[in-house]
Amino acid sequence: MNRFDRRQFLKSSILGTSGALLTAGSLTQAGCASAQASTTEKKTITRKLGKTGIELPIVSFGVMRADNPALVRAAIDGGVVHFDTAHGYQRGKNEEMLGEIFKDRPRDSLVVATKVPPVETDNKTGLLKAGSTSKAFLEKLDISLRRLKLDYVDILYVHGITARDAALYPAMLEAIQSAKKAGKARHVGLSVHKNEPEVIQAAIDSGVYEVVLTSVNFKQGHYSQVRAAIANAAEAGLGIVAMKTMAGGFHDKERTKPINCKAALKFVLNDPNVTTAIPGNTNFDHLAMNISVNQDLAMTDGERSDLALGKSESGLYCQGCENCAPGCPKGLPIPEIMRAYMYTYGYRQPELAQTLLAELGLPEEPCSNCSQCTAQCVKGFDIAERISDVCRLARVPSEFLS
Amino acid sequence: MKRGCIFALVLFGPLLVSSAFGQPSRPALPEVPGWKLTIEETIYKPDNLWDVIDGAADLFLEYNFVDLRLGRYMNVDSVEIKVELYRHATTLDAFGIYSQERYPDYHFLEVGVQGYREKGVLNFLAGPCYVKISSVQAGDKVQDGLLAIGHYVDSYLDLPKSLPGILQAFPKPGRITNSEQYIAKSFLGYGFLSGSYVVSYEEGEPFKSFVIDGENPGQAQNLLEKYLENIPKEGITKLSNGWLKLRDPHNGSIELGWKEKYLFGVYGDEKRTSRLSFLQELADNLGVLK
Repeated sequence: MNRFDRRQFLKSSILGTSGALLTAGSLTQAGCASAQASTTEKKTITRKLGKTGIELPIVSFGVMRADNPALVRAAIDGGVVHFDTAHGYQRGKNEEMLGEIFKDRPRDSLVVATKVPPVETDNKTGLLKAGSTSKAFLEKLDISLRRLKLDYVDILYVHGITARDAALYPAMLEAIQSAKKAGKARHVGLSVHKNEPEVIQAAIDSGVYEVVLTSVNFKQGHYSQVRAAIANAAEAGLGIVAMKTMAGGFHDKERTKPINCKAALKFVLNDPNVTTAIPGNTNFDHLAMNISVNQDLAMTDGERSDLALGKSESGLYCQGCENCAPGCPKGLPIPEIMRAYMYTYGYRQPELAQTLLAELGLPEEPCSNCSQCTAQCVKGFDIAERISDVCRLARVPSEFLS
Repeated sequence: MKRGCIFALVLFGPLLVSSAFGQPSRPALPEVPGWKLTIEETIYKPDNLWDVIDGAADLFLEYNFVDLRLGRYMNVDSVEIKVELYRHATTLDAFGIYSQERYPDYHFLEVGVQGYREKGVLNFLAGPCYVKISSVQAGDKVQDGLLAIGHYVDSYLDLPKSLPGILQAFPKPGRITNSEQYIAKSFLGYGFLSGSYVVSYEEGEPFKSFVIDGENPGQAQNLLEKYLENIPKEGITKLSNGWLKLRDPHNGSIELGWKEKYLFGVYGDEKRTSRLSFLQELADNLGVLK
């Protein structure tokens, strides 16, 4: 993770304050004003949110905690204009905290979104139950508005839709249209974090939703489908807001290998159909790092490499099924050698791989007498190529590896 | 976080061993007379908690969420009550997430370590578990059902009933009951300040007090130095006893003290000149904590 320059950030915070006083119509300029003053001639990148008429800096703020208003204030001062919260976060404390901050700011300098859930959803099917009435939804919206100390939100989402039928559920469509008609929401949308392509298509088909808040990240196995759905939605005039761009923050389930979050954010925003992303900043370092993407979306080689590692790590992992073993005429311990390969290219610990190879007591070129490899990997690894590659480590002096 | 976990394990570890909670041979939730129980087979883990609580999951993960079990109770009157049993790594983690969602003016009950009942909701803390019981229906029968099921679940879990001991050190005058929080990560927005206990006060102007357990004096000193790196020099003044008054560029005026392994302070009151006597009392109380 990149270390940020706190002095630079403090400077930009102070300078950015003036930006927050501008009107929504000139949000672009607001972002640019602070960015231009605080960085060397770099402009804030902004994009249009579908057909809503709103134009946003590409980095926004998904507010996930209620205990640090200073972070939100710093974000505003740093040029962030779009804040995303939800009715259910911390039983309302999240919206209340934001309300306390927003009350002192010009309303048209902010783009505020909240998410209100249908009352009853079946976790397994994603379908809405009978209790999910328009009335109950609108009552929750009124509570949210009171907490936010606002007369309206800029974007009102139906929260957590994971099935097409839920997206098209008549009571929800009725509720959000009613909220818009009553002036309690300028624009309406849905949020989706599962079955995204199906739900996004439903949002398009509804003719009601104007914005989709979708999970999208470099680790999604179905990323190409999500990206295609996003393209369709953008083509249809919907604004796309990205969430879960950090893919949980870790490469592994054990949460020991942190993801390069800046790279992950850039990856998603490099799709021009994504209007903005709402990373959940938890501290000033994260905030400054994310805000910096507003002016610099280009990925470095190191960032590309970090993401490639994350994407391919599962491809490096030998599951140890030993189905390959009978196919090797030399009886090589293929799973162990594959482990060494993962140490080298997955964990970047070649010294560990070298130790393992030494323990295995392999010949210098284990595959030298075979013209064609007869061992087959169920995951499709090129076994001979990997063995040849990693066994070269055995000849490298250990001091070059540490 | 690490410090918090260690602290909690030292404090509560022995108690956890004696609990019947988590025995694989028994169901996650108890049978309750008059109610039909259905337990969802899926056990939600950190990688799919989003499927149940969407974006709220992020905060649960900061408090070392382990797993979630869901159950539904239904009675002959068709009252349906949902139970969410969130298990965290330690009692301190569970207290932390519970405290993030609790308001001091709730109607508190003697259930678990502490619990409250509002319209259609009964939530409580029990050892390393945060239990949420709710219904989308309304009425007295629902409220009674929440309470009955709450007590059954509490009794069934049979988990230790104590709040983090360090909270006892906070002075009593002006203290807002049930405002105590444990913030696992990035206290005041600084990534290096983890594991902070925070209590709100209403004495004249409202303010908040915090304590960070640095594990040992050296680590507390390191935290102090790191924090001071973030404060402009002109924003640091010494109090009469050597402690500091700071002008934090993000968090405003903060009075900061330290004693042994603890770093502590007050913030949020921009009008008052000093709360040194308050901090002194807090330091004295921390000194006698065992």
